[in-house]
Amino acid sequence: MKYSVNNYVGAFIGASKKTSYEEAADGLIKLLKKTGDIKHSKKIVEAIHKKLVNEKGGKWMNIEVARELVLKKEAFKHKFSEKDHVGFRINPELVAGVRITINGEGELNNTLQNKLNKLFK
Amino acid sequence: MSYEIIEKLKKEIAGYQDDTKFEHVGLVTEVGDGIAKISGLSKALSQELLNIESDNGEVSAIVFNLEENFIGSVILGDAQKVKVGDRVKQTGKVVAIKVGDGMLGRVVDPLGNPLDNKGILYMDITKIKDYPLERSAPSVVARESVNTPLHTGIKAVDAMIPIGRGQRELIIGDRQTGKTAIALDTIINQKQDTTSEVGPHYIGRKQVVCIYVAVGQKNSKIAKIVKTLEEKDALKYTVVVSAPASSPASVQFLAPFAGCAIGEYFMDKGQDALVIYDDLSKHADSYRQLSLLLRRPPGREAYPGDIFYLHARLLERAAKLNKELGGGSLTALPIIETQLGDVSAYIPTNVISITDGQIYLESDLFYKGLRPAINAGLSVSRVGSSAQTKAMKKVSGKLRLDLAQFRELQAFVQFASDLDENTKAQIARGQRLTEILKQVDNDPIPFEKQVVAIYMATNGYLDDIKVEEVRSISERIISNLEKLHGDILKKIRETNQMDEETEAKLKSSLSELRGV
Repeated sequence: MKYSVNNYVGAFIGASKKTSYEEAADGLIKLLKKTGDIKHSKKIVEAIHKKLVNEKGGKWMNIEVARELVLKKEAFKHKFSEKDHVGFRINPELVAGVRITINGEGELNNTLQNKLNKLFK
Repeated sequence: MSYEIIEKLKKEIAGYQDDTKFEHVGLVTEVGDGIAKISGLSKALSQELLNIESDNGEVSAIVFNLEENFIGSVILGDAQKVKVGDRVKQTGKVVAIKVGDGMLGRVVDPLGNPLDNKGILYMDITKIKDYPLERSAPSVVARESVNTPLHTGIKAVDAMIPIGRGQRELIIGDRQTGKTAIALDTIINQKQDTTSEVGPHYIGRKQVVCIYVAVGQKNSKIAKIVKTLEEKDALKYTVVVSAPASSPASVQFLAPFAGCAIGEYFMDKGQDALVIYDDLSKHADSYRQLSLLLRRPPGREAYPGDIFYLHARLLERAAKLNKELGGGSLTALPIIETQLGDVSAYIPTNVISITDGQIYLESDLFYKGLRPAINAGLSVSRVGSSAQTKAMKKVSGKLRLDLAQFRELQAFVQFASDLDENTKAQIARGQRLTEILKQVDNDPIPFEKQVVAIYMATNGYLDDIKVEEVRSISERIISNLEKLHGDILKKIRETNQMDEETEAKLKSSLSELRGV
């Protein structure tokens, strides 16, 4: 990458304060094409999204469960504030239970994988 | 067997307590060359130990760089196991080593794991202590002046460049000049230099615990050193910390700090410890490698800006503690390898300025057969003279003067026949003094015998002996002196002095033995 993800995020947030989000987004896409970093656009957009959620006082939540059956998205979403972003992921490695990650660095791990790991440590 | 396993699992499951709690985690975002970049963990501490949960088990890492959006860490275990996306957890602990008396006689890695296949280190786990690898040096009030000698068993060092317990003396020289040999002799000599008598009339020297830290050395060399120590019965009071050239840079970087922590354990117990860092040039290289991989800005010779602080904070931990703190000491003998005798390179000048003196070894002298190849003119000990025994001080003053005069006249040796009698005598004395300072490897000489040998040379007892016979004849005289007048040597050893009465006895004995 020519510039780091954080540089793009900072630039976008700065630009969006001066113009509309749409104009800033257009400018960002043009810039990514110019620098050749368009292939990393997914990562950059997610980082921007995360920054915007945090700036509005929300949290970036990630909920992982082992199987689709237990994933009750609506029930989960009601537990959090509207400002929060809640993402869901199926991760069979967890075996059972749920793992919630907050802002990428706080974790509540209530999975069977974790319990088994502790048991056999 | 399977029944036993099932029973064990049943017990574990029955006793399992679920304590799910909120934890700080990070994710590995980049990994390579033993370095991992981790996102998250914004509350991580510098030097904190992390656990990377890889698919093949947990791998330890140390926090090195704390940046705005990520942390740069150095992987301690098998870096091949770590991949992008692995979760990382904080341990809340800084890197520490488990230390105890069980370490004596063992070869360990910088994390305290035994490497010598001699079984577990500690039989009694209650006597183990955790010592952090990074610790601040004792303060000014905790210290006292160096006052006890640390005899190396090498005549040239003990007489002209004396080392005190708690001192930092650099051993510097090119490759293959005998740097490690001096360090090994010092370790071996600690066995015979211990005096049990401590009282108003005796000045005792406690057994020194030795720690040999091998950084970036060949495994074969380390094995040879361990074998030598074993043969000389010196391994029982020695700990070998091994970080060979085959180990990762992170392990080599930690080795001197681990050695220092082990030394501090013994110092805090009131014992005297000696730590040898062999060598700090390779240690600086390993730190340079880590720093460059962590993208820290390179400075002179591509070393990072804090390379001086790295060695200063390590060597500053050598100290002589005051009586209230137990009176223990930690002596440091760092070794630096120079390239073509260039002492003005970056790392040598740094370490020269940090230490309390240096023993400078020269290739030219080594190849001339002067071994140990110590350049007495460039070698210096800044604080050791205050710890030198009175007996040695008495004989070495004259030795320094005679040798200095000899060095000035050395250029005229080839024209000796054209010189006046006085100059000829000075040259002859210098040649005999140089000869008496020669010594073989792994055979350190007790301090009292050194005193007698130097006394003989400086007082003209060897002047009429051929230069090539000086060593053998002086050895024979000392051997006979030990057999026939052992009380003289004993008194020098016990009192550390050579009073008028002892000197008179020594004079008459030497006159008598010279004729034998």
